[in-house]
Amino acid sequence: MAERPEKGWSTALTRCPITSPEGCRTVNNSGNRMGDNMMKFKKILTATAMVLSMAMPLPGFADTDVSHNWNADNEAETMRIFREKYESLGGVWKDTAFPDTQESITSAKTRFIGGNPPMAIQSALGGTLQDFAEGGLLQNMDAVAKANNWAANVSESIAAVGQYDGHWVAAPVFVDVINWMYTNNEVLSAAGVEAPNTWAEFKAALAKLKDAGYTGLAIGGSDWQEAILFDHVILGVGGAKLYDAMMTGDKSVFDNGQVRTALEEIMSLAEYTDDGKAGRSWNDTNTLMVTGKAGFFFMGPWAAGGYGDLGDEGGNWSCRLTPWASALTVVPDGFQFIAVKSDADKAAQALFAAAVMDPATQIAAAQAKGTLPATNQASASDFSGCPAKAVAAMAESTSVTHWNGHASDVGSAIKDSITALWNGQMDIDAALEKMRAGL
Amino acid sequence: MLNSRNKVKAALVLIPTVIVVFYFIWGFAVYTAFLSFTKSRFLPNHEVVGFDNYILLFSNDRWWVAYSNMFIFGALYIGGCIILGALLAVLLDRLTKGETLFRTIFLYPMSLSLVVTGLAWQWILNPTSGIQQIVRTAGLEDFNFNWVASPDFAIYTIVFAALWNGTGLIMILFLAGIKSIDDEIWKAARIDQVPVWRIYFNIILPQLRTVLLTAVMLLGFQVVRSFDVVVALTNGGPGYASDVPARYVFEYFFQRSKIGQGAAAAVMMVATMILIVLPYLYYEIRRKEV
Repeated sequence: MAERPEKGWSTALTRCPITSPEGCRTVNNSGNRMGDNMMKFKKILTATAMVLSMAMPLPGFADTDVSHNWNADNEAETMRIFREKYESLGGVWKDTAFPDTQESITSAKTRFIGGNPPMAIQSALGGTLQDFAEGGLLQNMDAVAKANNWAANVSESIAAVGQYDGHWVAAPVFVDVINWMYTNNEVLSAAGVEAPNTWAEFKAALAKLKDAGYTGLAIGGSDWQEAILFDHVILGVGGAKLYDAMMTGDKSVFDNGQVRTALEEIMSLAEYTDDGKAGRSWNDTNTLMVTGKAGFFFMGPWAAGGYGDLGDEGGNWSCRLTPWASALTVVPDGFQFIAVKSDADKAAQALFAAAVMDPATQIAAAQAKGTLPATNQASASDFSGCPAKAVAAMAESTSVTHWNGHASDVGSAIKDSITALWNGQMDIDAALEKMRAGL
Repeated sequence: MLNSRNKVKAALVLIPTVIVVFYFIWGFAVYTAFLSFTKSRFLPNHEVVGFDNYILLFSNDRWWVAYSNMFIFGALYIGGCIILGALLAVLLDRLTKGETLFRTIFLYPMSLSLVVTGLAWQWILNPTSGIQQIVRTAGLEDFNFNWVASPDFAIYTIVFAALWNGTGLIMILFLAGIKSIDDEIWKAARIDQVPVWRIYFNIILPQLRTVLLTAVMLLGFQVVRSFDVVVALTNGGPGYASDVPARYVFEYFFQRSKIGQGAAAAVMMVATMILIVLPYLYYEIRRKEV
């Protein structure tokens, strides 16, 4: 894109989503997202590589290792912290990095069927974990959990995420808060707009930005970006209560008209977006904000890294959790433990599990990654910038699980109906029906 | 003639290939067809559920968008490639100088992969940085060309990109065909004072029926398996307006943990392909009998 400043690529290469909604085109938390184009390219490459590697299992691939998709600088630092803890406990490190969660999941699946699985795979917990558990891919980690007192180190809701059927099968290490609103304060003040606190104020602000010649609302062209925008609309219409009801499949919310209102509201935002949104990746969209072309952007915590040039948070740019609702939409991120067979592998796995669930290690790793640790022993003073705001908000707001933390059907239902509505393929009635049927 | 020892040798050499082909191509094809009748989701699961996956598939509007896009894309791509390719071949054949140069120019896009083609056209068609923006900065402020952002027109942008990539090959096929026509026909036509364009369209091109069939077959398969150009250009968007079956299968197989439904869609693709191939086989067989 012509508008991408040179820096755009470096932004793309180094800032990465911590959690990313199915995607950046895939269910993916914490992918190294190099821009959708690069990603597509890589996807095709890895798909080819995967097919090849399925046909020719490489000798020497037999060690148990960790599959992950933490490739960006800050994520590599995160991994280094876990690795050093693991090695200090006596483990021998090995890992396999993938461009995104989808690739690592497919690889883990294939290697499991081939009898040669990794000992752990990093991904968003929730829907993916259910798939793995139902497939019989996961290891019972109850003994390790008991020995290391996991249940006391994390909150009850986080503990539930690491378990299937009452048994520990995964280590929740981070909690990614998704519902951030980024603002370019220079643009806002140039258009004479105050930072909005309610949905009505937000829409008024958009109108003013439009009159002043700015793109009010930055958004890209992937369905998950549209679905993230919809998150904020739902929170504006019915708060955390409506959000959680929808995501947990409570169909009664479709009867009182709130969902319809939300669909009408999201469509009313279309006029404040720009023409170039089709097919645009989230990081190119972020560039609109950084270069002062757009005023507001709704994106996960991974976008914050792009604003370095504008100075510290709170000056020329801000990150705020959805101002019109006292709610956080969260996705737990962590390691699922695959059912390895040999005693040596199991011992290595237990060591690794102990390392990543160590509260101090989790806090250090979360600081490196710019997200929140799963442990309940962190305090706001451990963090600065956006993560500090999230820690503070966590104490007083309702946390609800984001659709990316639910079974993949939930995310698909939201994304399919929103993208069809937003792009004019369906009217509100049809989208409503599709969403009701899917959730 | 092969003696019997040589025949055994030949068979021994071929058997591994035959086994590999049967196992990896037909074996997996049959297995995929089987999976489409099971309740496989994240992992293959052999519990048979009958036609459930097909019912889900057929009740999914997204599938119908993808499936009908294949026909829109197919008709325009095959038709466009053949008309443009034949036209270019005729023009090239008329050139007295520079044929090699122009042949290279027109054939060049084919050397680019469809992924690169798709990305390049994505930039060209992007409303804020491509053609639309260029024309607007040149003075035509009201100029609109944002097909790539429109659910109704996005599929046609894929046709552009694919045409640009595929026309060269068809041109070369026709050019080779035209060159192979006997000179005597030209001489005879000249004597009868037939205009040049009529020689091409009434005499030469009708003789290139086999070239035409080859072109249709080649392009037809390209249509059914089109994936890379769509992923690179629109990624199925806006929304899923420019989705195609191959991308649908990929998404349901690998990204949505719905192997059963993905397999059902794959079976539908094969069924469509068979429908394309059958008339051709029928025609070939009948022609040989006659």
